[in-house]
Amino acid sequence: MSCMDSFRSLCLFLLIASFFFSCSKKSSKNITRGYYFWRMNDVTEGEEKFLKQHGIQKLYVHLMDVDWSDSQGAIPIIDNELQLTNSALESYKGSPRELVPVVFITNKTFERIDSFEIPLLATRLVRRCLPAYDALDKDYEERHDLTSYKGAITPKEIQFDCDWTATTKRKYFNFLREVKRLLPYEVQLTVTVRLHQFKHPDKTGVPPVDRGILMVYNISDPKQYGNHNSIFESNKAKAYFNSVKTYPLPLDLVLPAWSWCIVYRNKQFYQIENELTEQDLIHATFLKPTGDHRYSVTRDTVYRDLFLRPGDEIKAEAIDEKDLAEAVTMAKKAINTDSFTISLFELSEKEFQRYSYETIDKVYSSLH
Amino acid sequence: MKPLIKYILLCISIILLPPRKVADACGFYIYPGEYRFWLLQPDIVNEPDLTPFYFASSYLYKADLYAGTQPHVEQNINEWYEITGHKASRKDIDSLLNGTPPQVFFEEQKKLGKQNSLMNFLLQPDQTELYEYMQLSKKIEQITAYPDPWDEQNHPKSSVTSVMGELKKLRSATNDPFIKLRTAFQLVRLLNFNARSKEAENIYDTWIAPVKTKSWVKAAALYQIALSYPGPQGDYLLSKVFDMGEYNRTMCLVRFENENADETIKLAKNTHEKNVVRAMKIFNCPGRSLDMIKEIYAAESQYKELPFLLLREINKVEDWLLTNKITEFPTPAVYGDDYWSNYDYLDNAALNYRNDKVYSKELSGFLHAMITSSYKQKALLHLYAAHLDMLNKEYESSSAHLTEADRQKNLPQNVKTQIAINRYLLDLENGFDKMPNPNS
Repeated sequence: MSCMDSFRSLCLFLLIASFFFSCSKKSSKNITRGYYFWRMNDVTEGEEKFLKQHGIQKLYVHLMDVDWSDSQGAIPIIDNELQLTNSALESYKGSPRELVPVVFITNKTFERIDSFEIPLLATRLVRRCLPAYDALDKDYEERHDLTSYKGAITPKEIQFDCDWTATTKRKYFNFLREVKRLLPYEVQLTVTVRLHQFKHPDKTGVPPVDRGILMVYNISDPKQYGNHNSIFESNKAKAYFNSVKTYPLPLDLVLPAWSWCIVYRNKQFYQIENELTEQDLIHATFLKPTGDHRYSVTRDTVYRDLFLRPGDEIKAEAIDEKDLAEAVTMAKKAINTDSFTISLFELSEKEFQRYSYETIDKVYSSLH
Repeated sequence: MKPLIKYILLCISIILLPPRKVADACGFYIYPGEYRFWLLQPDIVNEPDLTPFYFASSYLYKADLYAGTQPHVEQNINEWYEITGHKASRKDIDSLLNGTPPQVFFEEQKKLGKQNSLMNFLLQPDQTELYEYMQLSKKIEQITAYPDPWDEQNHPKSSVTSVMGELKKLRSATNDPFIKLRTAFQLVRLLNFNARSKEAENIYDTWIAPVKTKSWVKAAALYQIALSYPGPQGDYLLSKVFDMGEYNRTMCLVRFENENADETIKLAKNTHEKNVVRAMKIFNCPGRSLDMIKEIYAAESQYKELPFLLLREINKVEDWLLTNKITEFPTPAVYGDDYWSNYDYLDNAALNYRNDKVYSKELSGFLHAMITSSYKQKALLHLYAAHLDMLNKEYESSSAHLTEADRQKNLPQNVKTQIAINRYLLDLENGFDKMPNPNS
């Protein structure tokens, strides 16, 4: 090998090494640990302890649901106050963490709303998310005694959750633009992105917001009778991640860590029971297991305010550690920025007790 | 032995006499002031819509403003039954009007059309106006249940204005008096929600007041107008609604302010209206009211609420004379009410008892005078007199009045039962008085 060749080889080596070096520098990601708190009552001490153990920095708090009323248009159905959640967290002397208000809006709202009503809806929701937004808001906060909780909370981010479709994208995106216009510059606007929206941005569009948060769950319709797990099934989820194109909006991720039970009557959807677990079903004397996490009601029973009849079926759906690991593997494919939030849904002692400390910790650390 | 047997029998009678709701209860504790002693049953006057105003027990009724029946609900079902030409069943009418949430109504009309005869009737091509009215009334049900969903406390609400526009359009298009009256009533309701009470009053005056109807809707519309007036004017209008008798009488009494009564009575246009105001004042008074009852009787001897007012007065006397004698409560229960909160009964117990006995006699004297007059409801008067005479230990007179009460024709079952109970109680009193004392 000539001297020149040796020099060329050295240059090539340095080039490749520097490329890898730069790549590895880039792959060191800045991950914020998040969790969703969807329940409309106080965080428990056990939940605060769990958040502390796992160094959760950001809590997405379910602020309100908005639905369509035929007489009154878009109206809040249930609502919460960020200050109440914060006050509960502080009462346990928890570490300070960012609270993000999340507003769920039904797609029906955007199917029915007139375009001219969108700015009013945007204003009303910004008022609820930000403190002392205008005179009307100050009056509301005073009436609701919100200023007494060590002052109102000013979030750095607000989030909207809507299963928008190709039909409603125009109105929903107009709504988001209006919200963005009303928000102070420093407040980020984020939205949830469902898997079908992630896969088909050409059809459902890309929301005009700062970031999206990809929901790596809700794989199928829970109302549909069958053996599937509507929360997550990796073989079904794969289909959503086979695109080579990067989603054209910076994405955060939210992974499933919850369970529920679904009641079917005459093979038709009857009700979802969030508080029921499979353990409850196993111990219920009026149920007979029929396999695949399904149970059949054997006699008339009133159980947790639910009137069950013989023949009713209850299906328990949950995410085990294996499912969660698979969801993480798949979610990696959607990462399109170096700095993002990974969250789990949802914060509840009943739910996180099903996972080991290591499993939860791995979710956050494996995406580095 | 004699007092002990008497005590046991009285206790048994107390257990047997109170309404079934008491018998069904278990494990509850009653604080003094929550329960009154009474033996004359308030329901014999057949005014179940005023149950919360029975002078019986705050534990059972006063705290529950919905304890009274609501006659307008049944009337409404009947009015719809008639308007559908009996093609819809009463059960289905009740279900669609009172048991179907608006959202279900809007989203499941096809299904409802198959299951519910009223919905099926409304979906017929020749019933478009009635169907449209039902749609609007369901929208109004949504609005009134949740009038300010964003809690903004500002007016007017565009959603309310929009439904008002639809109501006006329907009202001007229809010739059906049923729809005309109801759309006007709904407009009055919505105008109040939009803080336009003057306009609501105009609509009442022009579109509702002149209508000759037996429908409950007219009283309900006036009730809405009354709510928009504070003070005596509002109370005067409430007295008119109360007198109509079809709508929300309990709430009329609850909203009526006794401290305004003297001013309110000045607004009354005739003797009858004045008596209605007086009666409402008495219903809200836990103390002695005989003088006002006498005023009513002198001015209008057949005033329809007199039987109830007299019965309440007897129940009061029962409480004052007997509660602390035969229960463990140290004072008549009524002294536990706010009305008497600053009064130390025990310091004046003996004097009070004597005064209450005198009052009992005075009330009895008034009843006896009424019996000899041309007052029509003789059976009740005799029964009342018999009861008071028994309390006053005038057993022969009591017995004679019971016999007279029993002789009246076409007595309702509850009155017959009360007569039988009084006869039994009287026999107990007489029987034991005549029993030889084994110790003597």
